[in-house]
Amino acid sequence: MTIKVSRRVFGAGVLATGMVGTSRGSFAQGTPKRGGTLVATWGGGEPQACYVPAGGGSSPTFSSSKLFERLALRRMDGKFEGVLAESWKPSADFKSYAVKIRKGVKFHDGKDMTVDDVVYSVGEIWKKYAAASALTDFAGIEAPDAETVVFKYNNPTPEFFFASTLCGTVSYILPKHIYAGSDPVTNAANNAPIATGPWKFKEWVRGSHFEYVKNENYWKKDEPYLDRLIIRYVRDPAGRAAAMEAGDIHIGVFNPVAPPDIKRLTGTGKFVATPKGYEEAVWSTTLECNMRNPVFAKREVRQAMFHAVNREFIAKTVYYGYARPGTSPIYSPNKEFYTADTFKTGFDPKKAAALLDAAGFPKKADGKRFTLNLLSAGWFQENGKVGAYVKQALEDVGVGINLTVPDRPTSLKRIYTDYDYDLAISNQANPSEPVPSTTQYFTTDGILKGVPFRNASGYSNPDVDKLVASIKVETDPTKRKALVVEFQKIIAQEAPLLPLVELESITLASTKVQNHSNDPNFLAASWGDLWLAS
Amino acid sequence: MQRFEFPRFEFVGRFARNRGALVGACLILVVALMAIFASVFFPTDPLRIVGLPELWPGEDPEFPLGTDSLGRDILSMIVHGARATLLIGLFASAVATIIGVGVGAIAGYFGGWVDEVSMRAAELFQTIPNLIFVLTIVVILGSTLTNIVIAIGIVSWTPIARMTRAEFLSLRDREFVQACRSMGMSDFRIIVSEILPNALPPVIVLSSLVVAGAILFESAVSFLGLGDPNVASWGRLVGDGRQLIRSSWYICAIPGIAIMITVLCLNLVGDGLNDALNPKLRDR
Repeated sequence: MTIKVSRRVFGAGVLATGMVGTSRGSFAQGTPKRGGTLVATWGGGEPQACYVPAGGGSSPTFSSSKLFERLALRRMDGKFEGVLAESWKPSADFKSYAVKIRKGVKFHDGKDMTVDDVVYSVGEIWKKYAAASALTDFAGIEAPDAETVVFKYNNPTPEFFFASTLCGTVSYILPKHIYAGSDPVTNAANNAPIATGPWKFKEWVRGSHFEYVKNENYWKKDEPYLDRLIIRYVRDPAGRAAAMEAGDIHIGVFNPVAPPDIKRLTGTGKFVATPKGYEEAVWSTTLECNMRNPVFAKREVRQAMFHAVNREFIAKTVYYGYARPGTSPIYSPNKEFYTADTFKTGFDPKKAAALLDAAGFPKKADGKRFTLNLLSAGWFQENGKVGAYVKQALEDVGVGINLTVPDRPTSLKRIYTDYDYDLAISNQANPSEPVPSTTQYFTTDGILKGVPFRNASGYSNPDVDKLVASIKVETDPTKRKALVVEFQKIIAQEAPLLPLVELESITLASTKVQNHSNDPNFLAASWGDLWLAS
Repeated sequence: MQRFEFPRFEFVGRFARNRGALVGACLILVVALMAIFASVFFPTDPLRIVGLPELWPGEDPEFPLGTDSLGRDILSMIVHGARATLLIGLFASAVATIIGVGVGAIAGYFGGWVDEVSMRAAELFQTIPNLIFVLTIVVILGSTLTNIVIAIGIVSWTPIARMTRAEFLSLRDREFVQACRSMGMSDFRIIVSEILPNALPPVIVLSSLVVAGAILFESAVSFLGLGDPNVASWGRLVGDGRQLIRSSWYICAIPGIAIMITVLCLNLVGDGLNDALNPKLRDR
């Protein structure tokens, strides 16, 4: 099967009818207006670098995705669409894929993007950093001619998986002439990227904002519509609400303001709020057990941690209903793979206490079974509140808790580098394809010290590793789904890390902003098609 | 030998002559009683979720000051918070006073290079913006109550050191000190038992003001989310509530008022102490 989409033809056809963008989403009216500066923010803090080769969380994803481009993207309707790739095709044995690369694409420094850049990016950046766990079966990439690259795999590779790999949020095509021969993690260009996207990096005023300007030589005709894009960081949700109300910020993705302010601002008629644009990046707030602590050796102890917590309460009180209890490592909006039929760790403090008793941790004289360090990652304000509640809930079943809520860099370091916690409240966002984004939190090859948002719990189970390995190579979609269901069942029962709640993320935008929320992972979309109505 | 006398009744009388100070002292006493008996009034953990979230003051008689965004009793957090807030204020002031008086006394008494080195060190501390210095220390050492106390003490000692040094400079060559020297008294004994009691009154006034400053520092640290999350403190309550300032402003306002009143009262008490301890104002 060949997926061949030409954005240019597609766009031109729709433009003729004066309805660009409507086929990809709502929030668009009339003909795009050119020019203007869009100021955007998001519900988190400033990134550690503008671009982080391994991803580095949503913050650098947000800032880098406007500059860099991927080979493909997944559309709102679930179909895949080529970006820097024009089409791809598997071989008969599904062990290799030929990808046609778009011609006439230039980097921001004027150099042409060639298959060499693709071969370098996939072989050196994707394989080692951006998509390391998606490419464990990867046997190499070569360029037979000037417009084709061939991905080779040791084992059969499912098409959905391959296309999802091309769409990996930070699976960018990097300029080989800037990165070759350097350590990509510390390359100075990470803070002033040269890329192919609709936006060119201008400056980063630390503590304040990024300024991007229009890429005049962008390969996609007519885009970007805007002249400038500013990404501003405001530490505090109340501050973001005030800035948006004052007209200083036009759009905020991923819960920029507190829920009461969403109602207040949309009530003025000058703002719209939408949960659209997060279908391929469903967020959750997770609780994970550090397996290095011997109390978590028995899975009953880990299950007890979840039985003690009332997820409904968290969803209702901390998130004002913009969340729902999470049951499985794969989240309920995932139409391809989610199953509700898993082991249940619902709210049942009596059962939690019984499990802990049975596991050999009776209450001691001071009323405590043992004391744990609970780390609540301070990058979202809600995490601190979830932490305060989880502390109380666990103390109610006799588990002593020392709560800390460190700031973003300290939280990243303590959870993902130092493993300095017993229980951690963190967040993750996963696309529909479970391998590797979801599975790397549980597989042994996901234990990568110092790489954020991977297997920090240290959970290692040969059965899970084997299962994930077979999910990777199963090319029959039905059989593949059955394997993913099995994976969910095991993880929900083993409970090294489970979602407490799945978050309903909200984008808040001024009614002037057109064409937004039109990508299933809008935060990581290129935003070349956004425009401002007068 | 000229010793500082502490005529008790005269002192109380002079302190009470300042009405503001008297009111301040009474309110501080109330706050202190709240802190001491917090566990009697509210035996459960103040950080427990006990009711519906965001109940306004008076909405539910069980929670006279309402509940915060998670459903914790604000009155209970204010009463328990008084304990954390006062403890931090007092201990931080004690830390600052001990460091400040120690450094100031040695610098002022010995002079020369000792003076030079310690005053340059003090200047080094003074050039760093206080709040940023406190935040840095707390981030590095970790957000626990002890570390916050240490951090505030470390940034607050310099004015006390300078004041003590100035007092020592003016006292060290006075006749009674020279008399002690000629008697062969040790430096340590002269500093501690002869000069210090005479230098102390202004230092006490300054220390009482450092308590107020420490409370504000702690509030700022907690407001920025770097406070000890296991302890109820007023600043933390303000910080938690700021997200809801447009809808449920009382969550910020109530602890804010508590901080304001306490700090104001501490300043009034400081004024009263100044009146009572300053010999120049004795016959005013």
